[in-house]
Amino acid sequence: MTANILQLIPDEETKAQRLFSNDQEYQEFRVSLQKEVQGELERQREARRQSEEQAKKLLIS
Amino acid sequence: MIDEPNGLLPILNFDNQTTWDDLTTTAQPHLDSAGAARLKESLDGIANSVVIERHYIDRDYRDTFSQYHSKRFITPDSRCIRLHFFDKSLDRSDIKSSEELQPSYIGYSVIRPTRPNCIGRTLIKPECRQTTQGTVCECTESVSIQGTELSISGFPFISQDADVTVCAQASLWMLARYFSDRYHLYPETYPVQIGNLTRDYSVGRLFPSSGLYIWQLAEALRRLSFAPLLYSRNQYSQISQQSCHTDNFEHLLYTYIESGIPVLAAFDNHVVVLFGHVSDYSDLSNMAPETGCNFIYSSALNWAYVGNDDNGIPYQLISNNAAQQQTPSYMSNTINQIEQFVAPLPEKVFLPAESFETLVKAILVRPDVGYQQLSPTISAATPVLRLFLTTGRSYKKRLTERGMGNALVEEVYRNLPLPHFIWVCEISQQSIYPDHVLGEIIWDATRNAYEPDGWIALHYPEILIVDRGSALNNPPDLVRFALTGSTNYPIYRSNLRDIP
Repeated sequence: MTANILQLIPDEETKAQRLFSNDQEYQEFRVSLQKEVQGELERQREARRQSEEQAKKLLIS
Repeated sequence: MIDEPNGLLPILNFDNQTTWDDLTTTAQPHLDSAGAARLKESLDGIANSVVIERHYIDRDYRDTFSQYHSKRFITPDSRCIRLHFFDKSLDRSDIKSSEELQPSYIGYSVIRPTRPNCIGRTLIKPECRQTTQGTVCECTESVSIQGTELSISGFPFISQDADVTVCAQASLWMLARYFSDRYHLYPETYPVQIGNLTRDYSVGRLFPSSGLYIWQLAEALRRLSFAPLLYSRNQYSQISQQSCHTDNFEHLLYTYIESGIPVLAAFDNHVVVLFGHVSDYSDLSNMAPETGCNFIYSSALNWAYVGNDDNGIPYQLISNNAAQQQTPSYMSNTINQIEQFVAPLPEKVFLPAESFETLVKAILVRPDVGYQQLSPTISAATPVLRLFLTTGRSYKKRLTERGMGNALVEEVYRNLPLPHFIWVCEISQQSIYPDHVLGEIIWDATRNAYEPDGWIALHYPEILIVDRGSALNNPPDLVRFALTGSTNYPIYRSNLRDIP
Protein backbone atom coordinates (compact mmCIF):
# COMPACT_ATOMS: atom_id res chain seq x y z
CA MET A 1 0.00 0.00 0.00
CA THR A 2 1.32 3.44 -0.91
CA ALA A 3 1.64 5.89 1.97
CA ASN A 4 -0.28 9.07 1.28
CA ILE A 5 0.15 10.77 4.63
CA LEU A 6 3.58 12.04 5.52
CA GLN A 7 4.34 11.85 9.22
CA LEU A 8 7.40 14.06 9.73
CA ILE A 9 7.57 13.83 13.52
CA PRO A 10 5.63 11.94 16.21
CA ASP A 11 2.55 13.75 17.41
CA GLU A 12 2.75 16.01 14.38
CA GLU A 13 -0.88 17.15 14.41
CA THR A 14 -0.44 18.95 17.71
CA LYS A 15 2.81 20.63 16.68
CA ALA A 16 2.18 21.59 13.06
CA GLN A 17 -0.11 24.33 11.84
CA ARG A 18 -1.17 25.11 8.30
CA LEU A 19 0.72 28.09 6.90
CA PHE A 20 -2.32 29.24 4.93
CA SER A 21 -5.80 28.82 6.36
CA ASN A 22 -7.34 27.94 3.01
CA ASP A 23 -6.47 27.33 -0.64
CA GLN A 24 -7.54 30.80 -1.73
CA GLU A 25 -5.01 32.36 0.65
CA TYR A 26 -2.31 30.10 -0.72
CA GLN A 27 -3.21 30.92 -4.33
CA GLU A 28 -3.01 34.64 -3.54
CA PHE A 29 0.44 34.12 -2.11
CA ARG A 30 1.51 32.09 -5.13
CA VAL A 31 0.22 34.62 -7.68
CA SER A 32 1.74 37.61 -5.90
CA LEU A 33 5.13 35.89 -5.69
CA GLN A 34 4.89 34.97 -9.36
CA LYS A 35 4.16 38.59 -10.29
CA GLU A 36 7.04 39.80 -8.17
CA VAL A 37 9.65 37.67 -9.92
CA GLN A 38 8.20 37.62 -13.45
CA GLY A 39 10.16 40.59 -14.79
CA GLU A 40 13.52 39.36 -13.58
CA LEU A 41 12.92 35.83 -14.84
CA GLU A 42 12.08 37.24 -18.28
CA ARG A 43 15.33 39.21 -18.30
CA GLN A 44 17.19 36.04 -17.38
CA ARG A 45 15.56 34.13 -20.21
CA GLU A 46 16.65 36.80 -22.70
CA ALA A 47 20.18 36.85 -21.26
CA ARG A 48 20.40 33.09 -21.75
CA ARG A 49 19.24 33.41 -25.36
CA GLN A 50 21.77 36.16 -26.04
CA SER A 51 24.55 34.17 -24.32
CA GLU A 52 23.84 31.17 -26.53
CA GLU A 53 23.97 33.44 -29.57
CA GLN A 54 27.32 34.89 -28.51
CA ALA A 55 28.71 31.41 -27.90
CA LYS A 56 28.59 30.90 -31.66
CA LYS A 57 31.11 33.67 -32.15
CA LEU A 58 33.78 33.02 -29.50
CA LEU A 59 36.46 30.72 -30.95
CA ILE A 60 38.86 28.87 -28.65
CA SER A 61 41.94 27.47 -30.35
CA MET B 1 71.03 9.37 -6.09
CA ILE B 2 69.41 7.33 -8.82
CA ASP B 3 68.78 3.64 -8.16
CA GLU B 4 68.93 1.48 -11.32
CA PRO B 5 68.98 4.41 -13.79
CA ASN B 6 68.83 2.08 -16.79
CA GLY B 7 66.20 -0.27 -15.37
CA LEU B 8 62.46 -0.36 -15.98
CA LEU B 9 61.74 1.44 -12.71
CA PRO B 10 64.51 3.86 -11.70
CA ILE B 11 64.09 5.61 -8.33
CA LEU B 12 65.49 9.12 -8.13
CA ASN B 13 66.05 10.75 -4.75
CA PHE B 14 66.74 14.49 -4.89
CA ASP B 15 69.91 15.34 -2.92
CA ASN B 16 73.04 17.44 -3.27
CA GLN B 17 74.13 15.50 -6.33
CA THR B 18 70.75 14.73 -7.91
CA THR B 19 68.58 17.51 -9.33
CA TRP B 20 65.67 18.07 -11.71
CA ASP B 21 68.20 18.06 -14.56
CA ASP B 22 68.95 14.45 -13.67
CA LEU B 23 65.25 13.67 -13.85
CA THR B 24 65.14 15.17 -17.35
CA THR B 25 68.10 13.05 -18.40
CA THR B 26 66.72 9.85 -16.89
CA ALA B 27 63.26 10.36 -18.39
CA GLN B 28 64.58 10.82 -21.91
CA PRO B 29 63.49 10.86 -24.64
CA HIS B 30 59.95 11.61 -23.44
CA LEU B 31 60.56 14.43 -20.97
CA ASP B 32 61.83 17.61 -22.61
CA SER B 33 63.25 20.64 -20.84
CA ALA B 34 59.99 22.60 -21.13
CA GLY B 35 58.04 19.75 -19.53
CA ALA B 36 60.64 19.34 -16.82
CA ALA B 37 60.47 23.05 -16.09
CA ARG B 38 56.69 22.82 -15.60
CA LEU B 39 57.04 19.86 -13.25
CA LYS B 40 59.77 21.65 -11.32
CA GLU B 41 57.58 24.73 -11.03
CA SER B 42 54.80 22.57 -9.62
CA LEU B 43 56.72 20.32 -7.26
CA ASP B 44 60.17 21.74 -6.49
CA GLY B 45 60.77 21.64 -2.75
CA ILE B 46 57.81 19.29 -2.22
CA ALA B 47 58.84 16.18 -4.14
CA ASN B 48 61.86 14.47 -2.59
CA SER B 49 61.85 11.41 -4.80
CA VAL B 50 60.50 10.25 -8.15
CA VAL B 51 59.72 6.72 -9.28
CA ILE B 52 60.13 6.59 -13.06
CA GLU B 53 57.83 3.99 -14.60
CA ARG B 54 59.17 3.25 -18.08
CA HIS B 55 57.17 1.59 -20.85
CA TYR B 56 53.94 2.81 -19.33
CA ILE B 57 50.90 2.30 -21.57
CA ASP B 58 48.68 5.29 -20.97
CA ARG B 59 45.09 4.81 -22.13
CA ASP B 60 44.66 8.44 -23.10
CA TYR B 61 47.86 8.66 -25.12
CA ARG B 62 47.34 5.22 -26.65
CA ASP B 63 43.95 6.43 -27.90
CA THR B 64 45.65 9.38 -29.60
CA PHE B 65 48.49 7.21 -30.90
CA SER B 66 46.16 4.60 -32.40
CA GLN B 67 43.82 7.04 -34.07
CA TYR B 68 46.20 9.80 -35.05
CA HIS B 69 49.97 9.37 -34.63
CA SER B 70 50.00 5.83 -36.11
CA LYS B 71 48.79 7.29 -39.40
CA ARG B 72 51.87 9.45 -39.81
CA PHE B 73 55.06 8.59 -41.75
CA ILE B 74 57.23 9.20 -38.71
CA THR B 75 55.57 7.91 -35.56
CA PRO B 76 56.42 8.71 -31.96
CA ASP B 77 56.79 5.95 -29.38
CA SER B 78 53.49 4.26 -28.57
CA ARG B 79 54.44 4.11 -24.90
CA CYS B 80 54.90 6.75 -22.23
CA ILE B 81 56.79 7.27 -19.02
CA ARG B 82 54.88 7.77 -15.79
CA LEU B 83 56.50 9.74 -12.99
CA HIS B 84 55.32 9.12 -9.42
CA PHE B 85 56.23 11.82 -6.92
CA PHE B 86 56.80 11.30 -3.18
CA ASP B 87 57.56 13.80 -0.45
CA LYS B 88 60.22 11.60 1.19
CA SER B 89 63.29 9.70 0.00
CA LEU B 90 62.61 6.12 -1.05
CA ASP B 91 64.39 2.78 -1.04
CA ARG B 92 63.42 0.15 -3.55
CA SER B 93 62.09 -1.99 -0.71
CA ASP B 94 59.54 0.75 0.15
CA ILE B 95 57.75 0.12 -3.14
CA LYS B 96 56.46 -3.22 -1.91
CA SER B 97 54.30 -1.68 0.80
CA SER B 98 51.19 0.48 0.30
CA GLU B 99 51.30 1.44 3.97
CA GLU B 100 54.86 2.69 3.54
CA LEU B 101 54.26 4.56 0.29
CA GLN B 102 50.76 6.00 0.64
CA PRO B 103 51.46 8.73 3.24
CA SER B 104 54.21 10.27 1.12
CA TYR B 105 52.52 9.91 -2.28
CA ILE B 106 52.00 13.26 -3.99
CA GLY B 107 50.65 12.02 -7.33
CA TYR B 108 51.70 11.14 -10.84
CA SER B 109 52.33 12.67 -14.23
CA VAL B 110 52.33 10.75 -17.52
CA ILE B 111 55.04 11.99 -19.89
CA ARG B 112 54.11 11.58 -23.57
CA PRO B 113 56.55 11.48 -26.48
CA THR B 114 54.74 14.48 -27.99
CA ARG B 115 56.07 17.92 -28.83
CA PRO B 116 55.75 20.76 -28.03
CA ASN B 117 53.89 19.57 -24.91
CA CYS B 118 54.90 16.32 -23.24
CA ILE B 119 52.85 16.56 -20.02
CA GLY B 120 50.03 14.04 -20.27
CA ARG B 121 47.47 12.85 -17.77
CA THR B 122 48.47 14.21 -14.36
CA LEU B 123 46.89 13.98 -10.94
CA ILE B 124 48.63 15.53 -7.96
CA LYS B 125 47.37 16.51 -4.52
CA PRO B 126 46.29 20.17 -4.31
CA GLU B 127 48.05 20.65 -0.98
CA CYS B 128 51.41 19.90 -2.58
CA ARG B 129 51.16 23.27 -4.30
CA GLN B 130 52.20 25.50 -1.44
CA THR B 131 50.95 28.65 -3.12
CA THR B 132 47.44 27.31 -3.71
CA GLN B 133 44.78 28.04 -1.10
CA GLY B 134 41.04 27.76 -0.80
CA THR B 135 38.56 24.98 -1.44
CA VAL B 136 38.47 22.72 -4.51
CA CYS B 137 36.50 19.97 -6.24
CA GLU B 138 38.31 16.64 -6.04
CA CYS B 139 38.11 13.17 -7.49
CA THR B 140 40.06 10.06 -6.47
CA GLU B 141 41.97 7.53 -8.55
CA SER B 142 43.73 4.35 -7.59
CA VAL B 143 47.24 3.82 -8.91
CA SER B 144 49.37 0.67 -9.06
CA ILE B 145 53.19 0.63 -8.97
CA GLN B 146 54.35 -2.93 -9.59
CA GLY B 147 51.21 -4.18 -7.88
CA THR B 148 51.38 -1.82 -4.91
CA GLU B 149 48.06 -0.01 -4.74
CA LEU B 150 47.98 3.70 -3.92
CA SER B 151 45.24 6.30 -4.10
CA ILE B 152 45.43 9.94 -5.02
CA SER B 153 42.86 12.75 -4.88
CA GLY B 154 42.93 15.99 -6.82
CA PHE B 155 41.72 17.55 -10.05
CA PRO B 156 42.96 16.01 -13.35
CA PHE B 157 45.37 17.98 -15.52
CA ILE B 158 46.60 17.49 -19.09
CA SER B 159 48.43 19.72 -21.56
CA GLN B 160 47.36 19.99 -25.17
CA ASP B 161 49.30 17.91 -27.67
CA ALA B 162 48.67 20.52 -30.39
CA ASP B 163 47.49 17.77 -32.77
CA VAL B 164 44.37 16.06 -31.50
CA THR B 165 43.88 18.46 -28.63
CA VAL B 166 44.30 22.19 -28.27
CA CYS B 167 43.21 24.07 -25.16
CA ALA B 168 39.49 23.57 -25.87
CA GLN B 169 39.74 19.76 -25.96
CA ALA B 170 42.30 19.68 -23.13
CA SER B 171 39.93 21.66 -20.89
CA LEU B 172 37.02 19.44 -21.87
CA TRP B 173 39.14 16.38 -21.07
CA MET B 174 40.03 17.71 -17.59
CA LEU B 175 36.41 18.45 -16.80
CA ALA B 176 35.14 15.13 -18.22
CA ARG B 177 37.81 13.12 -16.39
CA TYR B 178 36.90 14.76 -13.08
CA PHE B 179 33.27 13.72 -13.50
CA SER B 180 34.03 10.17 -14.71
CA ASP B 181 36.49 9.65 -11.84
CA ARG B 182 34.02 10.97 -9.28
CA TYR B 183 30.64 9.72 -10.57
CA HIS B 184 30.00 6.35 -12.24
CA LEU B 185 27.22 7.97 -14.24
CA TYR B 186 29.72 9.60 -16.62
CA PRO B 187 31.87 7.57 -19.04
CA GLU B 188 35.65 7.86 -19.17
CA THR B 189 36.38 9.78 -22.37
CA TYR B 190 39.68 9.83 -24.26
CA PRO B 191 41.19 12.69 -26.27
CA VAL B 192 40.12 11.52 -29.74
CA GLN B 193 36.65 10.75 -28.40
CA ILE B 194 36.55 14.28 -26.99
CA GLY B 195 37.44 15.64 -30.42
CA ASN B 196 34.79 13.47 -32.05
CA LEU B 197 32.04 14.74 -29.76
CA THR B 198 31.63 17.72 -32.07
CA ARG B 199 31.85 15.83 -35.37
CA ASP B 200 28.19 16.53 -36.20
CA TYR B 201 28.60 20.20 -35.30
CA SER B 202 31.78 21.05 -37.16
CA VAL B 203 32.77 22.52 -40.47
CA GLY B 204 35.89 21.04 -42.01
CA ARG B 205 38.24 18.50 -40.48
CA LEU B 206 38.39 17.57 -36.81
CA PHE B 207 42.07 16.56 -36.63
CA PRO B 208 44.47 18.27 -36.35
CA SER B 209 42.20 20.52 -34.37
CA SER B 210 41.95 24.21 -35.12
CA GLY B 211 39.90 24.88 -31.99
CA LEU B 212 36.27 24.99 -31.01
CA TYR B 213 33.61 27.63 -30.54
CA ILE B 214 32.08 27.90 -27.08
CA TRP B 215 28.78 26.50 -28.31
CA GLN B 216 30.66 23.44 -29.56
CA LEU B 217 32.12 22.94 -26.08
CA ALA B 218 28.57 23.04 -24.73
CA GLU B 219 27.42 20.53 -27.37
CA ALA B 220 30.29 18.21 -26.48
CA LEU B 221 29.20 18.34 -22.83
CA ARG B 222 25.61 17.65 -23.82
CA ARG B 223 26.79 14.50 -25.59
CA LEU B 224 28.46 13.43 -22.36
CA SER B 225 25.02 13.58 -20.63
CA PHE B 226 25.39 17.03 -19.09
CA ALA B 227 22.87 19.85 -19.39
CA PRO B 228 25.27 22.77 -19.97
CA LEU B 229 24.28 26.39 -19.38
CA LEU B 230 26.07 29.28 -21.09
CA TYR B 231 26.72 32.63 -19.43
CA SER B 232 28.10 35.73 -21.16
CA ARG B 233 29.63 38.48 -19.09
CA ASN B 234 28.02 41.26 -21.08
CA GLN B 235 24.56 39.67 -20.62
CA TYR B 236 24.70 38.76 -16.95
CA SER B 237 26.96 41.33 -15.30
CA GLN B 238 24.16 43.73 -14.44
CA ILE B 239 21.03 41.78 -15.26
CA SER B 240 19.08 42.46 -12.11
CA GLN B 241 17.20 45.71 -11.55
CA GLN B 242 18.18 45.61 -7.89
CA SER B 243 21.46 43.81 -8.14
CA CYS B 244 22.98 42.60 -4.92
CA HIS B 245 26.34 42.03 -6.58
CA THR B 246 29.14 44.20 -7.88
CA ASP B 247 29.23 41.80 -10.80
CA ASN B 248 26.39 39.31 -11.20
CA PHE B 249 28.32 37.25 -13.80
CA GLU B 250 31.13 36.58 -11.32
CA HIS B 251 28.58 35.85 -8.57
CA LEU B 252 27.02 33.14 -10.76
CA LEU B 253 30.44 31.72 -11.62
CA TYR B 254 31.18 31.49 -7.89
CA THR B 255 27.80 29.91 -7.14
CA TYR B 256 28.34 27.02 -9.56
CA ILE B 257 31.86 26.37 -8.28
CA GLU B 258 30.57 26.52 -4.69
CA SER B 259 28.08 23.86 -5.82
CA GLY B 260 30.94 21.54 -6.77
CA ILE B 261 30.41 22.08 -10.49
CA PRO B 262 33.67 22.87 -12.32
CA VAL B 263 33.14 25.37 -15.15
CA LEU B 264 34.81 26.08 -18.47
CA ALA B 265 35.85 29.74 -18.35
CA ALA B 266 36.52 31.30 -21.75
CA PHE B 267 38.71 34.29 -22.54
CA ASP B 268 39.33 35.74 -25.98
CA ASN B 269 40.81 32.67 -27.76
CA HIS B 270 41.53 30.59 -24.65
CA VAL B 271 39.67 28.44 -22.15
CA VAL B 272 40.53 27.04 -18.71
CA VAL B 273 38.75 24.89 -16.11
CA LEU B 274 37.90 26.54 -12.79
CA PHE B 275 37.06 24.19 -9.92
CA GLY B 276 37.80 25.95 -6.65
CA HIS B 277 37.74 29.34 -4.99
CA VAL B 278 39.57 31.39 -2.39
CA SER B 279 37.71 33.65 0.04
CA ASP B 280 38.95 36.18 2.54
CA TYR B 281 36.76 36.54 5.63
CA SER B 282 39.03 38.94 7.52
CA ASP B 283 37.06 42.04 6.55
CA LEU B 284 33.58 40.51 6.75
CA SER B 285 32.60 42.37 9.91
CA ASN B 286 33.14 45.69 8.13
CA MET B 287 31.25 44.78 4.98
CA ALA B 288 27.90 46.25 4.02
CA PRO B 289 25.36 45.02 1.47
CA GLU B 290 25.27 46.57 -1.98
CA THR B 291 23.05 49.66 -2.16
CA GLY B 292 19.38 48.68 -2.23
CA CYS B 293 20.08 45.14 -1.10
CA ASN B 294 19.27 43.53 2.26
CA PHE B 295 21.94 40.85 2.15
CA ILE B 296 25.65 40.20 1.93
CA TYR B 297 26.40 37.23 -0.33
CA SER B 298 29.26 34.83 0.31
CA SER B 299 30.42 35.45 -3.27
CA ALA B 300 31.43 38.97 -2.23
CA LEU B 301 34.18 37.47 -0.06
CA ASN B 302 35.72 35.54 -2.93
CA TRP B 303 38.89 37.00 -4.41
CA ALA B 304 40.32 34.20 -6.56
CA TYR B 305 39.46 30.95 -8.30
CA VAL B 306 41.56 27.81 -8.50
CA GLY B 307 41.85 26.18 -11.90
CA ASN B 308 43.84 24.30 -14.49
CA ASP B 309 45.18 26.05 -17.58
CA ASP B 310 46.59 23.46 -19.97
CA ASN B 311 49.36 25.92 -20.88
CA GLY B 312 50.38 26.25 -17.25
CA ILE B 313 50.67 24.00 -14.22
CA PRO B 314 47.99 22.38 -12.02
CA TYR B 315 46.14 24.45 -9.43
CA GLN B 316 46.90 27.96 -10.61
CA LEU B 317 44.97 30.88 -9.19
CA ILE B 318 43.15 33.56 -11.13
CA SER B 319 42.31 36.88 -9.50
CA ASN B 320 41.61 40.45 -10.54
CA ASN B 321 45.03 41.63 -9.41
CA ALA B 322 46.99 42.18 -12.62
CA ALA B 323 50.32 42.24 -10.75
CA GLN B 324 49.79 38.64 -9.62
CA GLN B 325 49.50 37.46 -13.22
CA GLN B 326 53.26 37.67 -13.56
CA THR B 327 53.92 34.85 -11.07
CA PRO B 328 53.66 31.16 -12.06
CA SER B 329 51.16 30.51 -9.28
CA TYR B 330 48.66 32.60 -11.22
CA MET B 331 47.12 32.21 -14.65
CA SER B 332 48.09 34.76 -17.26
CA ASN B 333 44.54 36.16 -17.38
CA THR B 334 42.43 37.95 -14.80
CA ILE B 335 38.87 37.12 -13.70
CA ASN B 336 37.45 40.19 -15.41
CA GLN B 337 38.83 38.94 -18.72
CA ILE B 338 36.51 35.92 -18.61
CA GLU B 339 34.00 36.58 -21.40
CA GLN B 340 31.84 33.48 -21.06
CA PHE B 341 31.55 30.38 -18.93
CA VAL B 342 29.87 27.03 -19.42
CA ALA B 343 28.39 25.30 -16.38
CA PRO B 344 27.94 21.54 -17.01
CA LEU B 345 24.85 20.94 -14.90
CA PRO B 346 23.66 17.43 -14.15
CA GLU B 347 20.73 16.46 -16.36
CA LYS B 348 18.13 16.74 -13.59
CA VAL B 349 18.96 20.28 -12.53
CA PHE B 350 16.34 22.32 -14.37
CA LEU B 351 16.45 25.46 -12.24
CA PRO B 352 19.49 27.69 -12.95
CA ALA B 353 21.32 29.54 -10.17
CA GLU B 354 20.07 32.99 -11.13
CA SER B 355 16.40 31.94 -11.05
CA PHE B 356 16.81 30.25 -7.68
CA GLU B 357 18.34 33.43 -6.32
CA THR B 358 15.50 35.55 -7.69
CA LEU B 359 12.94 33.31 -6.00
CA VAL B 360 14.59 33.08 -2.58
CA LYS B 361 15.42 36.77 -2.56
CA ALA B 362 11.73 37.53 -3.12
CA ILE B 363 10.63 35.10 -0.40
CA LEU B 364 13.11 36.40 2.17
CA VAL B 365 11.74 39.95 1.98
CA ARG B 366 8.03 39.15 1.75
CA PRO B 367 5.69 40.59 4.40
CA ASP B 368 4.17 37.15 5.10
CA VAL B 369 7.06 34.67 5.19
CA GLY B 370 10.08 36.99 5.09
CA TYR B 371 12.71 36.97 7.80
CA GLN B 372 11.78 40.42 9.07
CA GLN B 373 8.27 39.18 9.77
CA LEU B 374 9.10 35.79 11.22
CA SER B 375 12.62 35.90 12.65
CA PRO B 376 13.78 38.45 15.22
CA THR B 377 17.11 36.58 15.42
CA ILE B 378 17.95 36.99 11.75
CA SER B 379 16.51 40.52 11.68
CA ALA B 380 18.96 41.58 14.40
CA ALA B 381 21.87 41.86 11.94
CA THR B 382 22.58 41.86 8.21
CA PRO B 383 21.97 38.36 6.82
CA VAL B 384 24.82 36.67 4.96
CA LEU B 385 23.56 34.32 2.23
CA ARG B 386 25.36 31.36 0.65
CA LEU B 387 23.73 29.68 -2.35
CA PHE B 388 24.68 26.23 -3.59
CA LEU B 389 23.38 23.13 -5.29
CA THR B 390 23.75 19.68 -3.76
CA THR B 391 22.06 16.30 -3.67
CA GLY B 392 19.27 15.49 -1.23
CA ARG B 393 21.21 12.38 -0.26
CA SER B 394 24.37 14.29 0.61
CA TYR B 395 22.38 16.94 2.51
CA LYS B 396 20.65 14.29 4.62
CA LYS B 397 23.92 12.47 5.25
CA ARG B 398 25.22 15.43 7.22
CA LEU B 399 22.09 16.22 9.25
CA THR B 400 23.26 14.46 12.42
CA GLU B 401 26.76 15.93 12.49
CA ARG B 402 25.36 19.42 11.84
CA GLY B 403 22.43 19.16 14.22
CA MET B 404 20.51 21.79 12.20
CA GLY B 405 20.23 24.03 15.28
CA ASN B 406 17.15 22.23 16.57
CA ALA B 407 16.31 18.54 17.03
CA LEU B 408 12.88 19.02 15.45
CA VAL B 409 14.39 20.43 12.25
CA GLU B 410 16.84 17.56 12.01
CA GLU B 411 14.06 15.02 12.43
CA VAL B 412 11.71 16.70 9.95
CA TYR B 413 14.45 16.92 7.31
CA ARG B 414 15.36 13.29 7.85
CA ASN B 415 11.78 12.15 7.26
CA LEU B 416 11.07 14.52 4.39
CA PRO B 417 11.47 12.97 0.90
CA LEU B 418 13.88 15.14 -1.12
CA PRO B 419 14.53 15.34 -4.87
CA HIS B 420 17.87 14.16 -6.23
CA PHE B 421 19.13 17.75 -6.52
CA ILE B 422 18.27 20.66 -4.25
CA TRP B 423 19.22 24.31 -4.23
CA VAL B 424 20.04 25.62 -0.77
CA CYS B 425 20.27 29.21 0.43
CA GLU B 426 21.98 29.21 3.83
CA ILE B 427 21.26 32.20 6.07
CA SER B 428 24.01 33.38 8.38
CA GLN B 429 25.29 36.61 9.95
CA GLN B 430 28.62 38.41 9.88
CA SER B 431 29.47 37.40 13.45
CA ILE B 432 29.19 33.64 12.82
CA TYR B 433 30.03 33.22 9.11
CA PRO B 434 31.79 31.22 7.59
CA ASP B 435 31.54 28.58 10.30
CA HIS B 436 27.89 28.65 11.27
CA VAL B 437 24.42 29.42 9.94
CA LEU B 438 21.01 30.20 11.43
CA GLY B 439 18.68 28.73 8.83
CA GLU B 440 18.11 27.97 5.18
CA ILE B 441 15.68 27.76 2.28
CA ILE B 442 15.68 24.46 0.41
CA TRP B 443 14.31 24.51 -3.13
CA ASP B 444 13.52 21.72 -5.57
CA ALA B 445 16.15 22.00 -8.35
CA THR B 446 13.94 19.99 -10.71
CA ARG B 447 11.33 22.78 -10.78
CA ASN B 448 11.24 25.38 -13.51
CA ALA B 449 11.74 29.04 -12.74
CA TYR B 450 8.09 29.92 -13.27
CA GLU B 451 6.85 27.63 -10.48
CA PRO B 452 6.93 29.82 -7.36
CA ASP B 453 5.99 26.88 -5.14
CA GLY B 454 9.21 24.94 -5.55
CA TRP B 455 10.22 25.43 -1.96
CA ILE B 456 10.72 22.34 0.11
CA ALA B 457 11.54 24.04 3.40
CA LEU B 458 12.09 27.44 4.93
CA HIS B 459 13.91 27.41 8.24
CA TYR B 460 14.49 30.38 10.54
CA PRO B 461 15.57 29.94 14.20
CA GLU B 462 11.97 30.59 15.31
CA ILE B 463 10.02 28.68 12.67
CA LEU B 464 10.20 25.82 10.19
CA ILE B 465 7.90 25.71 7.17
CA VAL B 466 7.79 22.58 4.99
CA ASP B 467 5.75 21.45 2.02
CA ARG B 468 4.36 18.04 3.00
CA GLY B 469 2.25 17.79 -0.14
CA SER B 470 4.91 18.03 -2.85
CA ALA B 471 7.05 15.58 -0.91
CA LEU B 472 4.49 12.88 -1.82
CA ASN B 473 3.79 14.23 -5.34
CA ASN B 474 0.53 15.75 -4.10
CA PRO B 475 -0.70 19.37 -4.22
CA PRO B 476 1.28 21.73 -1.94
CA ASP B 477 0.50 21.37 1.77
CA LEU B 478 2.54 23.94 3.67
CA VAL B 479 2.77 23.48 7.42
CA ARG B 480 4.64 25.46 10.05
CA PHE B 481 6.35 24.30 13.22
CA ALA B 482 7.19 26.74 16.01
CA LEU B 483 10.79 26.31 17.16
CA THR B 484 12.21 27.06 20.58
CA GLY B 485 15.77 26.97 21.85
CA SER B 486 17.36 27.02 18.39
CA THR B 487 21.09 27.55 18.11
CA ASN B 488 23.36 28.25 15.18
CA TYR B 489 24.91 25.19 13.53
CA PRO B 490 27.77 24.33 11.14
CA ILE B 491 27.51 25.32 7.49
CA TYR B 492 27.07 22.54 4.98
CA ARG B 493 30.40 21.30 3.61
CA SER B 494 30.52 18.55 1.04
CA ASN B 495 30.79 19.95 -2.48
CA LEU B 496 34.37 21.18 -2.08
CA ARG B 497 37.33 20.27 0.11
CA ASP B 498 39.50 22.75 1.99
CA ILE B 499 43.17 22.79 1.01
CA PRO B 500 44.93 22.55 4.39
